Amino acid sequence: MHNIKKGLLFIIAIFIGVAGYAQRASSLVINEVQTNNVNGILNKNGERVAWFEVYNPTAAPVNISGCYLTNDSLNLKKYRIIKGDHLTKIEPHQRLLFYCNSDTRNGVDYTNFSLSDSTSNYIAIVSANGLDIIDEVNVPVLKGDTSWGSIYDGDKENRATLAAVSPNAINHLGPESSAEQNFKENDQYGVGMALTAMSVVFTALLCLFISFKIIGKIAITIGAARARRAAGVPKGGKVDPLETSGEVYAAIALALSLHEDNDHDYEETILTMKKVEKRYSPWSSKVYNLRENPKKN
Amino acid sequence: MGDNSFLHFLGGNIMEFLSYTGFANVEIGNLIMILVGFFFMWLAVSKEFEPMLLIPIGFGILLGNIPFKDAGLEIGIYEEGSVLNILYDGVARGWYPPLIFLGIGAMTDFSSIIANPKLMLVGAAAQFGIFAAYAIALALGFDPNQAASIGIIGGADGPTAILLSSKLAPNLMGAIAISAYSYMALVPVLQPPVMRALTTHKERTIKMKAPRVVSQTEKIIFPIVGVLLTCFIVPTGLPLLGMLFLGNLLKESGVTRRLAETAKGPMIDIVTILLGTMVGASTQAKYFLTADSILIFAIGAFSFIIATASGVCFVKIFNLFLKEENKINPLIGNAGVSAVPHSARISQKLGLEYDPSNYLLMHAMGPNVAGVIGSAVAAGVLLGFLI
Repeated sequence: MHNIKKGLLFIIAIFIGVAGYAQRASSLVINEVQTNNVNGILNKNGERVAWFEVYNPTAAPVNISGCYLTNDSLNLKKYRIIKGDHLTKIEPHQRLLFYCNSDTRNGVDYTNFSLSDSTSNYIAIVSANGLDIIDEVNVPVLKGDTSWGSIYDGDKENRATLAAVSPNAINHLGPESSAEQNFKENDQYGVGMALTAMSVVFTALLCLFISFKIIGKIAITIGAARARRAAGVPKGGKVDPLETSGEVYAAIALALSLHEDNDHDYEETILTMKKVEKRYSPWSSKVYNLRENPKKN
Repeated sequence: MGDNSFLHFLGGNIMEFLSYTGFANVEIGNLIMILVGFFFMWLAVSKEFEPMLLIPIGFGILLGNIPFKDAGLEIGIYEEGSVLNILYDGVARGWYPPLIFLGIGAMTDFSSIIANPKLMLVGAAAQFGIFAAYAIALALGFDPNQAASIGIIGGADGPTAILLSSKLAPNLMGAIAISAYSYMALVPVLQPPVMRALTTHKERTIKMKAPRVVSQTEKIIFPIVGVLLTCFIVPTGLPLLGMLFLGNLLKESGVTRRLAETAKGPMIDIVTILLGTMVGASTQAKYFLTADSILIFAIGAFSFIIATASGVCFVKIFNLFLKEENKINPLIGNAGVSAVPHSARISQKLGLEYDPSNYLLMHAMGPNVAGVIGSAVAAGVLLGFLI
């Protein structure tokens, strides 16, 4: 018993560890990079420096502390994000901006490396073990006041020079998501949606149907075997244990019939006021419940 | 002089107070919506149409349409930090509907579809109403996200409609929720004419084979296999389907009676109160009284009719491939919409009308609960495609 408890605790610890790791950083994305900041965002010192944005695409907060940032693929542990700063917690679907001017004195969001505006730049987020790369990008040389990154927030597959520079803001500023736009352009009458979605719904329920057809058959076979054993019928003999008796059906039919006819007693819920006669009782008499007044001698 | 300034101060204060009252800020839209709230409460109290939903929604409409001065008082439902706004979070972020599904799972007996799994397909067929309404909404100029949110009304599932619209078209959520719940209450009016029109007398009197007895083991396996199969196919349906099947496992496992009782009792009651009231309160006149709302109501009715028709027609087609003794009464096709158990009751009522010894309730519960799964899957598909 003790071992079982230990085993369970171990499994729970592994699950928590795995879940914790999953929420820690593995989903983070380098969302936008500006290497040539001429007239763009100012940092705390009023300087315009290169920056990049890290995006949390998950529905849970992610703490980036302990992870590493680098601009050198041969040195993955170049800048360690210190623990204990509130900035390192990135809220769901939110961003954290890192300024790259090789000066970490201004806070955790200032890296100890710079980005070049004349050559391409490698940037990576590395997990706390210093080995696993969470996300990496090779940013081409950018013109002044342009940025490069995910066209839609968190999309690692589609990265390009962005239509507008958007530090700490959504990358795609259009009113519609790419998926909606796709349907708007390619499925104007909704036929595609109806066909695909109905196929999925049917597939899901068809899978359930097939599964329970099989499970049902197994259950009937097992039930019949048990009934045979209980009744002492040899193998091959027939006993139908699942047959419901006629009396049960009669009882159900009667109940339904009564229900349909509303043939049940109905309580009149009328409130009335009636004077209640108070009979004398020594148990409720004040005389017996109060102390007598002290007598003067 | 001193008295004059005091009177001036007093008058100013009274005028300031009056400017904050509802009377000073009322608009015609607020009054119309308050009348709508009265109508909902009247329907609930006098006609007993979905009272557990229409009372909170109706009263919520009153709460949401009491006018006040827009002075950052943090009282309105859309003002960040207000009490109503905090309670509204469950609707806006969509975490009330899965909790409702947990309770529904704990209440639902899936025996009828376990005993006769082919009825699941009827539940799937009825979801066609959702996509027909989607196409109509697109044709009427709604965007795909809005059209999907409107279409889900045809699933006849209030929590699902709220979840989907909160994600895809939050500005239409009030109208969609009100429409979905109104039509669920109007199932006895909308469905029977369609069912009569699409069936013959012979079909209506088909007597279905009594369902077999389902073992407890099968009932326990169902939610586990159900969640794995459906959520592997449509992971976006996880919040609803996961909670639905969890609730059912709590019920059927036999060892978590207290949890099941809480899920189907106090918890679902609390969430229903909050959900209904907040949905009602979200229907502020300036957001609700629009031409779009009228269109949503019209499309919603249409989607219910199509869903009913597609369920009934599917059974008729299905019967062509079934042996005589396995034929399904098409009157249970309407129950594929997931208004549990209202649409199953309609099947029962109509069945008895044509043959007083033909009890269809148990059979109709099959497609009815399959409809719950089907509409959650459909919502998951729409979310997956459009979000």
